[in-house]
Amino acid sequence: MSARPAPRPILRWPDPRLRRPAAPVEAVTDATRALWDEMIAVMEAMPGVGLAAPQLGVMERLAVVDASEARGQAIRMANPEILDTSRETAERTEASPCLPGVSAVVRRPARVTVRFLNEAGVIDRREFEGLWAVSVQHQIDHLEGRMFFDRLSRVKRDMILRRAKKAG
Amino acid sequence: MKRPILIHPDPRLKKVAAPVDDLSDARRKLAEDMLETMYDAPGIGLAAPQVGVAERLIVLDCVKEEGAAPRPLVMFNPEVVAASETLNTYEEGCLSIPEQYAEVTRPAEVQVRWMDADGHPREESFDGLWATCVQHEIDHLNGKLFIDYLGPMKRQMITRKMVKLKREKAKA
Repeated sequence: MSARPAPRPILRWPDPRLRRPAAPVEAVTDATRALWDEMIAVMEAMPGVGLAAPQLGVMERLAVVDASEARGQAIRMANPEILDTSRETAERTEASPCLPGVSAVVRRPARVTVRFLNEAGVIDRREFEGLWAVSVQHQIDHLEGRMFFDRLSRVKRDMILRRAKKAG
Repeated sequence: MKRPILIHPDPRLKKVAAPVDDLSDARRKLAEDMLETMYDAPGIGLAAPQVGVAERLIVLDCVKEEGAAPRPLVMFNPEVVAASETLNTYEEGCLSIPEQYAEVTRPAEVQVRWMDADGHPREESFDGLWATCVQHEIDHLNGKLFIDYLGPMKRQMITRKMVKLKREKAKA
C-alpha cells in the first residue's frame, strides 16, 4: 500500500523562486492535473481563494482560483493571460501565504477577461469580477514573479516587508 | 535486492496466493527484498504477489512520523481473526497502481495472526493506518485490489490510466 505523499510546502518570502517568471506549460497532462489537485488541496488547507504553482516551488504557469462561498468551484488554469481589463477599479485587502501575518489594500481593475488552457487542455476565455477577479490577477502576478506588494507605493511596500520580517 | 513491482492490470495480481508451509532462508531473503523494495518505492506495505511470487507473505511499516524508529513487520500466512464493527475511511494507494488514490472504508481495528520470519506464531491488534494497510495487503493475497472497492466507472478509469502508463513504460 502507498499513502498519498504530503503536499509540497508553500515557499516563504524572500525565496528567489517567488521572483522568477514561470515557464509556459506545453500541454495539459495527467501530471498537470495531479499538480492542480495538489494546489487545490493546499489552497483549501490555508484556506485561500487561489494559488499559483511557483508558490509550491513548481516553476510552471499553472494556477487555481476558487473564490466561491460554497467551495468546490475551483477553476484550473494553465498559461493564464489577461486579455482585457475594465477601466473601473476596485480595492481589496490582499495577502499571501508566502508572507504570513501581513496584508495590504491593493487597487486593481474590477473585471478582467482571461484566456487560459483549461482542464481538458482546451483554450478557454472567461470574465471574472469581484473576489474572483482579484484572485486571478494576484495569481497571474505570481506567474510573472510579482508579489501583491509590488502594486503598492514604495513606502507602503517597505512597511509591509518590515512587518513581515517581524511576523516571520 | 530490490525487485520489480507488477503494475495493474496483471493476471498475477488477481490470483489467490498459496500458504507458506515451510520457511527457508530463500523466503527470509524474499521478505527482506520486499522490505527494501517497499521502502524504496516509497510505500508502507507490499505483498508477495506484487513482486510476482504467489505466496502468502506481506511486509509493512506504517510508521509515518519523521525521525521515528522504523517498525518493519514480516508476516507469513497473515489472517484477520477479528474485526471491529467500527469502520474507518482512508485514502488508499497501491504500489501496483502508482499515483492513484481513493477512499476505501474498512474495519477500523483488526486482530491479525501470522508467522514471523523466525517461524514464531504472532498475534496483534492493529488500528489506524496499520489496520488499513494490513487489510489492504491481505487482500492482495486473495487477488483483491483496493480499486475493487470502488464503483465500476472509477475502477475502469484508473485501469485505463494504468494500461496507458504500462504502454508508455514499455516504449521508454
